[in-house]
Amino acid sequence: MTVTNEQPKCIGRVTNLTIKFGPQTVLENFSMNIYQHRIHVLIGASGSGKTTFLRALNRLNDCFATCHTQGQINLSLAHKMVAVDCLKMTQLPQLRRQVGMVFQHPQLLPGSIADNILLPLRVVAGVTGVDANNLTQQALEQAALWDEVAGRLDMPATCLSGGQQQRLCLARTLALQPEILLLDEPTASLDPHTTHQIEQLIIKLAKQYTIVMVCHNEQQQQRLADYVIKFH
Amino acid sequence: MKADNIFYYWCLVCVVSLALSFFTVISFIVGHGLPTINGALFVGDTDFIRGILGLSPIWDGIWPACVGTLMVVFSALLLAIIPGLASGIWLAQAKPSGFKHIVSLVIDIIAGIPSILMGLFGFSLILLLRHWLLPSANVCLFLSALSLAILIIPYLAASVKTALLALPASLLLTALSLGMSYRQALIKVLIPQASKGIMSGIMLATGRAAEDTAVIMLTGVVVNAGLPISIFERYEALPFTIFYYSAQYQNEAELQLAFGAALVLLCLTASLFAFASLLQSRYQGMTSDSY
Ligand SMILES: Nc1ncnc2c1ncn2[C@@H]1O[C@H](COP(=O)(O)OP(=O)(O)OP(=O)(O)O)[C@@H](O)[C@H]1O
Ligand SMILES: [Mg+2]
Repeated sequence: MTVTNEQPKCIGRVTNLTIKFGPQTVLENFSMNIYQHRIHVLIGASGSGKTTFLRALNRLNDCFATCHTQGQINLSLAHKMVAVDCLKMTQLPQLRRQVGMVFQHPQLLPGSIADNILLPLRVVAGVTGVDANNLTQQALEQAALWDEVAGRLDMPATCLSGGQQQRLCLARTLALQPEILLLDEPTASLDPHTTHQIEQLIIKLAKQYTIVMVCHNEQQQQRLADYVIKFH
Repeated sequence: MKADNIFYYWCLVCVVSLALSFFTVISFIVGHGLPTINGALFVGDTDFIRGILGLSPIWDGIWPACVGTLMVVFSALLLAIIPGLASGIWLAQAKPSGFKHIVSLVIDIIAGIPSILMGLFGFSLILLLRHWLLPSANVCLFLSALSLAILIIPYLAASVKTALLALPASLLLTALSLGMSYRQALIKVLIPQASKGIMSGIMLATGRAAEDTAVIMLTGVVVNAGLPISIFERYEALPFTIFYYSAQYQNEAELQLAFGAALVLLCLTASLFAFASLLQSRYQGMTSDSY
């Protein structure tokens, strides 16, 4: 939980969001505010649309032909108010870099552990060489994975355990230095010790990033949440 | 349990007989072809070095046919690769629509067209050209390459499409979620990941282009043309040489020549495949960074 006395600054507004997959309405007239450097925890039953909502914030739902979204999403990115729902196709890569997402199940890119971080760095941010290696190490340290993989970065990423893969995905997103972090059950496949590590990390990250996360665990929600948003 | 066993042995029998017939054919060709492999097979009576370099004309060797085959296959691939890959990518990625349905149907139909018809198509094209535009136009290596290209485009498209569709859908989503544009995700993540499948499609297409006799027979191949000087001339090619020697041989020696040529064609395609898989492993290595 972020401990501060300052008045939180509202950097995002979601208004009357309705999301449908074909005939099925997943989210109806949903509204919420997003506050800078705070942790927003989304809770709700399985299938209540938490993941779908996260994907609306970085317009990843656009990839599904049957998905229809109505309503307004405004986010302040790079000190400018951006109407996310009105962005053109060509502006989406920029949005998705600024609003980084870690999926519910670890999604690896092909190749080694290092490739997973270096490839997006090179392709999306144009960072290569020593800079890229430094960013990689930094991101892996942030995601509490560095000590476990330091000597074997060129091993296939699929050799990592589920929890390690999840942290690798987190590191990959952090390396791209987003402003808002969308975390879909970041500790779902971790043991208590690593969960604790990741929770500490999330609290630390909240100093730099605005966090919107999904969590199923009530205690975790109490430990982390500045704002709790319930989905029905 | 019993049925499982029977099924297992049935599969085993199939695969073993396939391998056996493969080795029988190969050893038959090697057995008959190998004794004929010498300098004279390639250049006939001409001096070997001068003949290979094209300094002296070759009358009854298969060297001009080797060069002709290589040239016609490479030209066909050059013409077919971009449209083939592009159609495959489009077919894999486009949203379903009436247009897409028609395009896939057309590609399937082209894939099923007997190659002799493709040869006739090339031939009629030249007749048309001669009648309306270019009175001097004639059957030539380029025309063969063009007809072969149309013949192999569906193979390329189908293999690219299959290879891309075989990737998990989440891979594209992941790449996009990291801020890659659609094009970047395709070039940097999806295509490298599908490159094995794409490469086997290219090999299939290469083999198809290298062995086809019907198309080239109608579009420019001749028994005796010497080394190809230009792509707008008639040329020699191995499949046709094999066909010609084995169909019209006057004596045992000429039939043996056909086996020699068949072995050379086999080696030629095998080395093309080896080269292609080398390229593919390079390409995969290139797209992954080393730390
Ligand atoms: N790509 C899709 N195509 C069709 N329907 C989808 C798609 N993604 C999600 N849905 C539907 O939207 C609803 C909400 O799914 P969502 O994944 O957002 O749930 P969730 O709250 O994240 O659940 P969980 O806690 O199990 O992860 C589900 O009924 C699901 O079937
Ligand atoms: Mg979910």
